[in-house]
Amino acid sequence: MIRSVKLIGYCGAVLIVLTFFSCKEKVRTSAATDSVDYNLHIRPILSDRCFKCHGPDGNARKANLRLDSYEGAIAALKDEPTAHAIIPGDPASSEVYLRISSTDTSMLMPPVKSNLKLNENEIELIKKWISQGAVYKPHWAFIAPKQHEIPEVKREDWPQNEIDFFILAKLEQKNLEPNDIADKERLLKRLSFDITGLPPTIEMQERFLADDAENAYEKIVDELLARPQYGEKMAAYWMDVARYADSHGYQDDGLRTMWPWRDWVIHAFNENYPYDQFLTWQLAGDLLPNPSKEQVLATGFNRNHKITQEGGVIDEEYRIEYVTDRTNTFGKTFLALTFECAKCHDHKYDPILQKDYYSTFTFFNQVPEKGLVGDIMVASLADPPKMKITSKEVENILSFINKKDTAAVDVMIMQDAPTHRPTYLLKRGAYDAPGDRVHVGLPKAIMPFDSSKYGNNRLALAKWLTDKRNPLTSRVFVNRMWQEFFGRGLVKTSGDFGMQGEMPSHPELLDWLAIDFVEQGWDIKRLIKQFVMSSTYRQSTAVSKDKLAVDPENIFLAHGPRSRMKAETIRDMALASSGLLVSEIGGPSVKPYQPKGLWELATSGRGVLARYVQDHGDKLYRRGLYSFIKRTVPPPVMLVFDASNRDQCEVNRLRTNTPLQALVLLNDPLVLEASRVFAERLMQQDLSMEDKVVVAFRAIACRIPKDEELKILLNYLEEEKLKFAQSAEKAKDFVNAGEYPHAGIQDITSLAALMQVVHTIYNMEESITKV
Amino acid sequence: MENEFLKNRFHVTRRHFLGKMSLGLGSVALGSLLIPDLLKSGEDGVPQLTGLPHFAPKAKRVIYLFQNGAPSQLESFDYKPLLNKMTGEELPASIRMGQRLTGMTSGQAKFPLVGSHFSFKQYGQSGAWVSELFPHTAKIVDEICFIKTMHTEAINHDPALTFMQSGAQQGNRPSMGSWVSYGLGSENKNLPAFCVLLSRGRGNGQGVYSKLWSNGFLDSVHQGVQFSSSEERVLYLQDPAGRDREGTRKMLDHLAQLNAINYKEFGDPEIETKVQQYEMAYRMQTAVPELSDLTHEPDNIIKMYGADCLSPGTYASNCLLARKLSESGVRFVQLYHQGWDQHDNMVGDMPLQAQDVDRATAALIMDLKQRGLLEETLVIWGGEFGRTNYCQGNLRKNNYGRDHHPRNYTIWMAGGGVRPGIVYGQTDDFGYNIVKDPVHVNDFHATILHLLGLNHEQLTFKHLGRRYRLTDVAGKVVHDLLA
Amino acid sequence: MNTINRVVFNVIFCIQILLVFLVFVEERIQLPAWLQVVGRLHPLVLHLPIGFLIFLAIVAILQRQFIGDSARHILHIGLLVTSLSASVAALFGFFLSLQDDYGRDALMLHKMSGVVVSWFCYALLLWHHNQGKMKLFYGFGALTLVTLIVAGHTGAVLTHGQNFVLAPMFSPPVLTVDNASVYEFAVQPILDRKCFSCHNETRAKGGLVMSSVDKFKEGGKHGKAWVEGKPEESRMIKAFYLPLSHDEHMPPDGKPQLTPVEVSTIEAWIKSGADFEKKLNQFADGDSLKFIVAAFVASRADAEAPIVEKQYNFNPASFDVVAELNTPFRSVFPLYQNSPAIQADFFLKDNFQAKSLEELKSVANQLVVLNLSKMPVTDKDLEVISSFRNVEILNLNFTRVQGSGLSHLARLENLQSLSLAGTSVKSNDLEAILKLPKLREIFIWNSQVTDEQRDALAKKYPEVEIIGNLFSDSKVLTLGKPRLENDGVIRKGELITLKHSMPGVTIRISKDSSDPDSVSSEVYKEPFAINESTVLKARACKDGWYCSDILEVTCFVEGIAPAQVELLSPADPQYPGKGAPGLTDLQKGFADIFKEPSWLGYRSQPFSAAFDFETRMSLKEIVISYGKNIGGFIFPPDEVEIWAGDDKKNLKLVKKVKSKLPTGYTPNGVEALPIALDANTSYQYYRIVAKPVAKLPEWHDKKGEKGWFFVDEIFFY
Repeated sequence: MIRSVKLIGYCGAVLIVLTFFSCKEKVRTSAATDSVDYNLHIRPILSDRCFKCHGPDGNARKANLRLDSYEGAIAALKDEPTAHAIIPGDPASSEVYLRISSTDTSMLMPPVKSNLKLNENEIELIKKWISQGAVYKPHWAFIAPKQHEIPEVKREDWPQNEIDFFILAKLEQKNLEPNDIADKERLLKRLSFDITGLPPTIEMQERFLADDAENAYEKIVDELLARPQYGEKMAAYWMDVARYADSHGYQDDGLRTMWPWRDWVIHAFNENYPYDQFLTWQLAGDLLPNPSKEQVLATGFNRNHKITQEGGVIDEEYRIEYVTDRTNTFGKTFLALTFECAKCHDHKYDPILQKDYYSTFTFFNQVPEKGLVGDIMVASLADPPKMKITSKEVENILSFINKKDTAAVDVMIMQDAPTHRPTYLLKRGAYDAPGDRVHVGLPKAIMPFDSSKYGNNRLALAKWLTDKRNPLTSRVFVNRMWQEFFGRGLVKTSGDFGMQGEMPSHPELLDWLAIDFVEQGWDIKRLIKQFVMSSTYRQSTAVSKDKLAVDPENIFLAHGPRSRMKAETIRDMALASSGLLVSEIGGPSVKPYQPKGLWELATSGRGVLARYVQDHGDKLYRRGLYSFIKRTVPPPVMLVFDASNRDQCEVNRLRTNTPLQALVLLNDPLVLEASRVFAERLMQQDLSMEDKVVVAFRAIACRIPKDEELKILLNYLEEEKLKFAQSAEKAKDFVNAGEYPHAGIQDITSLAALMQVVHTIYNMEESITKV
Repeated sequence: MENEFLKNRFHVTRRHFLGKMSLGLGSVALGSLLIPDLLKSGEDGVPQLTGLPHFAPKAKRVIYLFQNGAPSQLESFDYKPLLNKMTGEELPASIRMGQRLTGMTSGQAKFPLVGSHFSFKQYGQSGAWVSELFPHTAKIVDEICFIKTMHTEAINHDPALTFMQSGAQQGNRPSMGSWVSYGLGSENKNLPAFCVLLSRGRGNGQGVYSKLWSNGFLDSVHQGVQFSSSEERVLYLQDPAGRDREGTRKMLDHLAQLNAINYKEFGDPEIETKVQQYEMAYRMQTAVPELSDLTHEPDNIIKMYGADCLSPGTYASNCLLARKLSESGVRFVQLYHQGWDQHDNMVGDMPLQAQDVDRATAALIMDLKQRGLLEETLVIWGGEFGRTNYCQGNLRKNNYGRDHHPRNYTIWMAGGGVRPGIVYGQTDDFGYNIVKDPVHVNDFHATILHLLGLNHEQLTFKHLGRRYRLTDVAGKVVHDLLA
Repeated sequence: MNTINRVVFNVIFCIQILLVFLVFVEERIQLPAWLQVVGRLHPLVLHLPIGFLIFLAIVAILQRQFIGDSARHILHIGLLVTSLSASVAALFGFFLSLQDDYGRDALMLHKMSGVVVSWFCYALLLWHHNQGKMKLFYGFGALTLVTLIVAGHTGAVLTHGQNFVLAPMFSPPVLTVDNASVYEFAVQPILDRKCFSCHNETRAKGGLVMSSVDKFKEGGKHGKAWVEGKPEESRMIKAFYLPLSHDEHMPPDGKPQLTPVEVSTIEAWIKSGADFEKKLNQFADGDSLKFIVAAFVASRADAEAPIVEKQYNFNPASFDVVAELNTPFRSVFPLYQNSPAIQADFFLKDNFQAKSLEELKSVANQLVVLNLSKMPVTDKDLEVISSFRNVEILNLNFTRVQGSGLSHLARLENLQSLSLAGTSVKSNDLEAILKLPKLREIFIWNSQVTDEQRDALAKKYPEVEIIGNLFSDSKVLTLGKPRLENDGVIRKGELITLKHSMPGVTIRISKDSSDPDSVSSEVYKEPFAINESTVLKARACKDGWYCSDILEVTCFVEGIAPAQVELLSPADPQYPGKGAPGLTDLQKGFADIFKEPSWLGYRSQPFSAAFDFETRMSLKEIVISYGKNIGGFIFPPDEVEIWAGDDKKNLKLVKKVKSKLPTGYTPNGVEALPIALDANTSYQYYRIVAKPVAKLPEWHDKKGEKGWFFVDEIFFY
């Protein structure tokens, strides 16, 4: 009794000590003690909870108080000239602190009605910051990246290249150990999918496993980068950014032919056009000195937006809508800024005035186009301005275009009308409420736009973007690529580098990469090689409980990135591993299997796309990149796996995990067909049943199965054999999947059983995961 | 899966909680037991409880009977005898007041007023006016709350439809159903929380777009799941030929074993989630067919909805299915019925359209009521905008058409805590402008969320630096509509 | 004795530590129910230390009167209990303090003094125990007494309110319409609630102080707040009416706004000259102010009332318990955020067991809504349900309940709504429940209760709404058409399958393009085979229903495939289709999209194609599948010639048919043109020539123009 009571007492004592300690701990991590940094700690809070009413937007500003600038914050308050929002060094008499910490709800900021709150920690931070002199700093993203020293690290043996020094330094600072290098098989799988979007062939796996040379890995990297599938993989991502689709969108949603532009993108990546050129051609290829057909074709980028064919719309309303789309897409794609927020009013968080918005708008407002060229009955495949691509041109100059029939194909392109169209600020963003006239320009905060230097058309815009002093262009692209390879951008919000975006997890690394990228001539393949050669990339993806606890999001990259494959990749994986894939590159989009009635139910009944007329033969087995995208009814499997519906520019897909995805992998005819065809091919090979399963496993999961795995699968195989032996009917139905010609295997029972096993392997979590 | 709300909420908390327990020896541990912050997770430290109403809900579920193409209020529920008197006369400019016109009538030199070709009568205790085209709806007017003063900003179908569904004319915002799924989570974890049913009438169709039931920037578990009219109600639901339920069961068991091995090696929680998702998929495969089998409905139910209700893909059968889904805990059932775009053949098309929807709609209300479900189920009937009081094109002797009219249109709601048997709002005698109690689309949304126990200003999602709402930046709850 | 002594010592020690800790983390604490209860015991225990301490004081003063050191012992034991009770009181008090929001400062004072008292007592105890300096000890004791008084008093203030003690001596006059000036009575309270917080002596926004009458009259730096008699010109009123978003609007956005009544009150007051003294009864009876104030008195109560939630008097169940109860087949969740009330739904009847209902007993108290719709619940299970005393809404639709068990439910005093639709309950089973005090509605549609019985019950229990069958219609309705399950070309050996979703219908069919009737025509029993393209007609019939309209489909059946096909005349460049192979690839086109590749279109020249069967082949029929879209000029072929022979070079005309052309606009479709051949002859080569309509008929809008001929497939039998 006594003892227990004593114990209790002591634990009590211990715990108290703990509490004191843990409080200190908390304080340290929450950085309320040592110096508080405006960009790192304060701006995120102010921006998120205060700028809406006390930020850049002059019209929405309350009490004439702005907290986004030092001057604004220390100025005397309008209502109480004696009081100041912030008195540097003196939180106790700074209204800001008094208000956020007030218990009187009528005093409290943010107001109760706003549904915004600051937690103690944040209040504490702000207090600290004020007492430390309330130092404002310019937003990190708007300062040109600066050269950083390669940091010192303890484990010098680990880093392979500069990237690793930055990563490791941070890890050591957080007392985290990086993982060891992943085993060769998994490494190869990751590499192959990241670079080509396809699994490594068994032949390649064996070659790599056998190769013990120092540079074995590097050889593979180069080999993969050299493959034409690299271009397809990169293009797949760019299609989301460019909101590419095969239909016009809006209600009637007629057919359009923009696929030659897609062929160009693949071409551009495979030719490894430098990013500045890639970007310039798409934005302003038509304005280059005597532009080539290819350069003009590239400008299709800005015509991928939706175009209405709804009879009776108001022409100007839609023309403005198109220009708006281009402006927003420009902002998000190249600057990672939420331009769209400045369409109806000054941006609430970022220094983008409504005027700036329409100045940028001006660049894209010069196209000789109409809001409605003709309704669905007219069914134009490409509204002017457009270019005609003839077979002759394909033979000679545009050899990368995969044109099937003899008829020439029209593609929409950009063009500036001979006479400059005056642009006005649109009040509330309404097309019919023009305000003051504006002229070409861009938000000053990013980098002043000097039209005497650059000029005043889209080409000037491209020059401004690719100007070495531009703080965003390079950072934004490097970050996007990082996101594609490491699963999460150095700046997580890869679509928003603004005030509301997240801070970079490794600011120095981001800067270093950005500068290096430009200095090396915007060389994309080189950048990617840099990524994949790093130890950081090569780490195993195994995650220990404590790493999961410390860094669940893997921000600091203490282990390799592990993430579900994208919609297209899953399709490609199934096709490639089973040998169904048709490796033809480019060309018009194809219509693979799709459940009945989807288009028919949704359509207005007008236009050639009223019905889904499925393709047959080879067209069924093209890569996901080529699946026909009708905007109003995108391919269902794609949507289920979080693909973009191509309604507008998208730079980062969600990665969800839903039951519908399970249903697809369980019952989608494509996966079943792949299983069947794969099983048939295995049956034709002279291998033991065990070896057949191993081959399947290696082709799909890209590694040799563990014994226990193999055991499970073989037992399963036997069970299924028995089951199918009992009902030949079932076996026959099962192996009937898909249109692909049957190999005429006699032993249906074994075939069905093997097919079931293969199908199971396809459904393993690992199979559709980048490991 | 985010919207298995209890699960994630409790699990997160329990983990933290146990973590603390470890140092919670002795009496003082009691102290740490009492610290909720340790148990809370949520964006920017503000404790958040997704998956539950903010306050006591009136409605638990919604069935939205969307009449796609914009049914004419003047031939249905907004009775304007003056138009019959003035048929053929020009629309006074004082009434039109610079209302913008669609490209279809902007070229028109004259705007001849035209009265309804169909007669109206008053019904029920509420004495609501209903046209002869809706005899069955007329029988249930005392369950219904008519809103005659809806008004919108868009003047063309696509933007107007998108506005009604997502609160914005352009852009890829989450649909109302997705918001509700996000706010309330799913009641029945074996079914999607947001289901979509499509049908087409005999009138002029305008199409629907999957973006209308898109989850926008929300997690894709909130995506509307489209039910097809084929045997396979939900895409990829059916086991493949040659593999029966047990077959699939076996497969899942082996999969689980294989994934477990992987989990041992990698410890990625996603692997476990994947296994759960497969289990839920398996349950959906039993739950959905059980539901969508309409053949076991009692005879008088079938009579009630009309014989069509047994032909999949018809409006009637969608109404019946909607009731069954809702009854089984689906939060939001969204129907779209095409064909209401009467630009030139009002006399021909309107009766057919009405005939297709009238009986089944009324049946749905009565059916819900006799099961005691009407009180907790909000039913909405209406389109994306109204139609002009003047004729599109030249007024013919025995036919006419009406163009799009955003300034006022009629929709109705029933059940789910809506005040029954009232007619809200008033339009002028020309049926062209609102004279009393306007209800903007944002207000409409705010009110629906309110009925579901959600505060439309608090139901937000932060995306690319901005907190988005279904009601964007506006919206007032219309309290007069609440029971 | 010694043991007890030590134990008590340690216990006190722990409590003290706990106190310290709690005071530390106070901000973040949230109490579970049972500790709230403990807290409420504070008033009970707090009096003990007070009593003891005073008693000890007396002992200490009179200790000379005691024999030996008995005083010391008494003191020691006394201190022991005092300290213990004080600690406990403090701890409980602490818990209590977390439950209601008492006035902050008063509470602070009480809490601190209370805790201090407990510490002091503990200190005294130790002191006395370790024989510390006695003089100081008494001094300290005295100090303890003082703090005790402070603690006691502040406590009293908390429970009974400020100057509770002296209150009786001078009570402030209660404001009434008669004794108070309109300003004091009606206006000031509004300003107090909505304006003073920013316009008071301490922080005068815009230099305006409203809290003091004189300063209020002076106005702010922008001038006076009002103009006597002219509300419309008064700054104040204007500010009220500005749009909320406007910067000058008062009270500012985000602050509690004035209600219309409040605004009109102030308006009326200004209109009446903004008098601070004038009493209501001094106003003329007609004066609008009178009514408004009256109205205001009424409305004051419900001025911007927040959403009032139904309050439940039971405690919430713990997160874990609720989480535990959730399975895929049973959702259990609070009605809304922070509500103690719980709803439970059951799904998938095959997974329902009686025990899954039993398990809910762990939330028996909190369960308010229970939904068992469609579950195989029997009368027996109702007994379990009857133990969920707080259930208000119970859904038993389509369960196996017969009615005998309903009596159990009579114990559910809180039951408001009961759904029994689709069960076989009988009228007399209901009596028991209908007596329930709170019951508002009961649903018995599709049960054994007849409409007459329902009406009887309704008469007997007028306060309960009894909802039965809402729909009755004797009209006979028409059935829907049957469905053809097959689609595309019917492959060899494939069976024709017809379906109808209404149970118990008879499907009658005809294959000779005659209309099937409801009596004599062939009855469809099971899927059947057909071996050549046929026009199939079908209709569904059932007693009590009119037969359905006729379903008419042309079934194209796979025939003999020629070895080679050759187009002798190219299709119109607009509609090239897949060329020759397209004619025998068994891919059918659709009647509404002629642009897609299964179609070959001909207009300016006849269609002509050659078919090589490699060996001599006797055909009894050739079927041409053509498209029809009258509006789009797409007609059946005007004339078809069949040429045949064994020498490719010279074939002879074996058949020539004129197809019968439509005589008016008919729906679009894909139709079959069958051409019978002499089965006794056999040839290797066949050629088919089909001529498009040369001139569209008289009745057609575009009469005289060239017609189109569209073919997607040709079949040989």
